[in-house]
Amino acid sequence: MLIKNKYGRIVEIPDGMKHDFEKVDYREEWPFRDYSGFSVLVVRKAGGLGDLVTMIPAVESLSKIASVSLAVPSDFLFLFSHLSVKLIPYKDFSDNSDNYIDVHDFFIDMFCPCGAHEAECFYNPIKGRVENFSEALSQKPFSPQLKGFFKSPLKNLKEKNVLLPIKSNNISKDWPKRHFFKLYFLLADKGIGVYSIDSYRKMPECPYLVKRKVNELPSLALNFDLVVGADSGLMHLSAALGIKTLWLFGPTNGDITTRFYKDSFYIQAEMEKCKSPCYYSFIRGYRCSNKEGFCMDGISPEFVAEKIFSLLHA
Amino acid sequence: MPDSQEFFILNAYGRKVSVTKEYYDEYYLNIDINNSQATTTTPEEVNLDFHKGGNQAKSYAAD
Repeated sequence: MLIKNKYGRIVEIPDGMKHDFEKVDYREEWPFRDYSGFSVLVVRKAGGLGDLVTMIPAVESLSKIASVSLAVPSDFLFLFSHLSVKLIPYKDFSDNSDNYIDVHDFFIDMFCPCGAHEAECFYNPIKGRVENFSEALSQKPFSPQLKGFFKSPLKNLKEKNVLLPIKSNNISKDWPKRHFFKLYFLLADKGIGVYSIDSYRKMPECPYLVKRKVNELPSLALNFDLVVGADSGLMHLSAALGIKTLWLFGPTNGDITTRFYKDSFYIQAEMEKCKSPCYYSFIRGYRCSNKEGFCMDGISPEFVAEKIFSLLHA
Repeated sequence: MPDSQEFFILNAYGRKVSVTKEYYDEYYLNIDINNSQATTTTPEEVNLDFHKGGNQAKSYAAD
């Protein structure tokens, strides 16, 4: 079903999705306030690496007009170090009286646009993705861009190198490990260097990067010509670094997720029966009836390898 | 049926979680899982499309 939402955009709502059009949510108001000259506390309590990367343009847009204090988990503060904002490790949020909400004019909780929440607000571009906050503030979209990272060279790299982040945070979004394994052999046979990054689900024979701190990942990822994986944090990080990315989408929407990343390509697995992308099956109670998601299972390694060859030699 | 009966659903991560009766009625019982058809899906029914992303990409440099 196509509807025109309150922001004037034509959006499609999956059949059967519950939707209370009249319900007013406080989150709809926050992009449209005038924050100029005010002190704003931005807090992000939950979410993974990818969600934090998508916050970058929103925080930068806000920092241009307001005095911003940003409270996120300490592991992710490095993503915002190039911005002129006050960084507060989230664990210190309530320990230091300077960081209390009371000393700020506005408090913005950049809520989680994870799958379950995104499903709830799929029809609403402002609520749906936090990137749209910057769009609402500045009247145009921005690409999340990470700056100030330099390559930390890896040994034994080949002429063309591909990084395969295997694990995403949701089993329905994951590409099956056996497909990664087959893809490794397809690429290795063609003389392409392949690295996995997940140490505890490593593939036999495939070299892998030992699990490291999050803030070391950008320097490592810059070694690679292409990053291939399911919708996950490292894909967002790589795309924000300007690395060419090939995303594999099943339960989530590739067009929405990659639309701010310039050098990104994606394979969308669509299933008529599931009305995919289903966003974790909102209409089935936030879960995939197949648990592991046949949509991701249906993305064949041969199809992915073919696209990788064409992207590497483009 | 005792009032203290607990209601469980599988959350997005497949974990069994306890919820209120209101939530259970609202979000779970009304969902006809048997009619979703997804349970009978096979990988062969997946259509694959390859796309170029970045349909709204604009860098800071372009600003």
